[in-house]
Amino acid sequence: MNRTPDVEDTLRRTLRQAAGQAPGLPAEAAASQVEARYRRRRQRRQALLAGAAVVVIAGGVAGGLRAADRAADRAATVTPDATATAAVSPPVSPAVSPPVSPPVSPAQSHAPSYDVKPEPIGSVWPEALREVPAKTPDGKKIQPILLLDDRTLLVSTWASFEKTDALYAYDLDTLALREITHVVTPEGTVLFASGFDAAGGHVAWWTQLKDGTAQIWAAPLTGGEARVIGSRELDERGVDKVEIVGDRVAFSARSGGVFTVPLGGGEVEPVANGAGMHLLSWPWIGTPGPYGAGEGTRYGLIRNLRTGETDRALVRDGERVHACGVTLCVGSSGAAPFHRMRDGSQQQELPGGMARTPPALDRFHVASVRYGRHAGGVALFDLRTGASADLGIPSKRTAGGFSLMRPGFDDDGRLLAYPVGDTLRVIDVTKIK
Amino acid sequence: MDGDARFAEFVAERGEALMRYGYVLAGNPHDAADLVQEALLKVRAAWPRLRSKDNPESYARTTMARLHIAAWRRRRREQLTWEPPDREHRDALPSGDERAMWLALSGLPRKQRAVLVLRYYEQLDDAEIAKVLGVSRGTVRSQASRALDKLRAAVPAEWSAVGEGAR
Repeated sequence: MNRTPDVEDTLRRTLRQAAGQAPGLPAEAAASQVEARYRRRRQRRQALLAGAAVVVIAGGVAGGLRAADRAADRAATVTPDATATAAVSPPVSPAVSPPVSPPVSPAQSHAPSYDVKPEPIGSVWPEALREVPAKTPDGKKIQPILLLDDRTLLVSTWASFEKTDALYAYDLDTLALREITHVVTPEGTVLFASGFDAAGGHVAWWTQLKDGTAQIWAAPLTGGEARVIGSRELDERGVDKVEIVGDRVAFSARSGGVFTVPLGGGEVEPVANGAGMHLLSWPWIGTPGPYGAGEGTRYGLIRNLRTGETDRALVRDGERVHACGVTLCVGSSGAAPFHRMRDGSQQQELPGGMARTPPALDRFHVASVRYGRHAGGVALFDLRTGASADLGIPSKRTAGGFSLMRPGFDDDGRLLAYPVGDTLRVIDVTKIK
Repeated sequence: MDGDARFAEFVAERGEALMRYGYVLAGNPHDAADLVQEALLKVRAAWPRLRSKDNPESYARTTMARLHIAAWRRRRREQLTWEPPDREHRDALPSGDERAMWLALSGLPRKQRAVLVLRYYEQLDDAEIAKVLGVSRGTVRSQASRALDKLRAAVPAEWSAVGEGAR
């Protein structure tokens, strides 16, 4: 034949034809085998957690209080989470395996037995760790905020304690710091710039003036002047969250109330059904908010602004559920901390004492733990596989126990960043497969 | 109806379609079945969330594309537990240019093949492909163009001679 079909055309036809020749799927068998395998994985993980001695550390622990839930939403669509773990089975600890067990791969020996210090993060998940200078060339401390992409960290510098004076894009490969904008603090500002979020080519944050006016700011990530895009009078507690959503910026007041303002500047408008509510992770809002008096389950009630769906997290008699995200809750029953689905299902023990934030990306948890009798540290746990790693954060012995700084995840639930000496450790948990 | 039953229903309804997709992605029935199984396992684990917020099928498809390009088989710990029924493939692609094309596809790097399958089988645009694979739009364009060049070279106009010769 002499026809010269277009390659794209042939390709389309070929793929369609080939698809028609695909092997069949024994659906019933497939579903039940997947179900069985899923349960086996879960049981193994539960056995691991149940078998581990979890010791709560006394002493001062500074913890991040940020909700790590936005990531759950975003990750499902934009981060490479889907490649993450389907192929990785949880580590098997010899201590809790059945007597006749298959040989355990040495690479999987970092089971969470917390009386033994886990291996350092650099050897457990080297792919997730970057180490960069913690100071600018002129000696200012770099404050990590969030990851703009795989290799770029949004950071700030402070003029004085918590008073941000500039935002930079920190290239983790070349170590170049590119200034994004000066953060001006107008006369009369009482709450300095905070709550940074970046999306859609912009970075946004809030400040508050003495008279109670909250100001929402934005600047282009490519660099440029920061400007106030909207203001709203709130009570003295300020704003609890800012999130860029398409061409608007959503935010909520610590005293309750969800609002949006155009990214390009304009009127601040209250969100329908947002009165008294707090922004969890757009389109989810909820109550009570993250800065409440500690009564009730934070985000125990949530509502989806798009679909109107509401959900109240299950709390059984005799247990405390401290906080929930869109998917998971953390709480404690007696002295045993747990994490589970909002509806109370899939409850599992949470390593390392009481937690105030649900696992990041529904999977990662940071906890201070005691290693043996005389040392403490901070470990990152992969709740899905049971693996854990020591973050290399030094602890100080105090009269009551240990004192250490525990880093918190960013709002995306993707980034853990903390200084160790002159080095800034940057951990991107989405790199953990 | 509980979550398990709905999951089983999902597998019954969409399993075959996922196998077709897995087959054009992987190029052979065994890898296709593995891809589907791993994707279903992930869907099952995320079921409560997927059911309320996302589309489980698109989640499964994204997972399969990413698993395929991640050379995930090396990390696999558990073996396939169901065997796809063996089918006679000799007559699967009877016409010469399609056979030649199918063979040429098997010579492409995984990422290039995935891009082509997403574009010409799933009919996604480049922005959607970029999102599924977690790469930039520029990468999608360059991978697609490189892959098409290779296919053009491998499936020349005189396709029938090549097609028969390859047999």
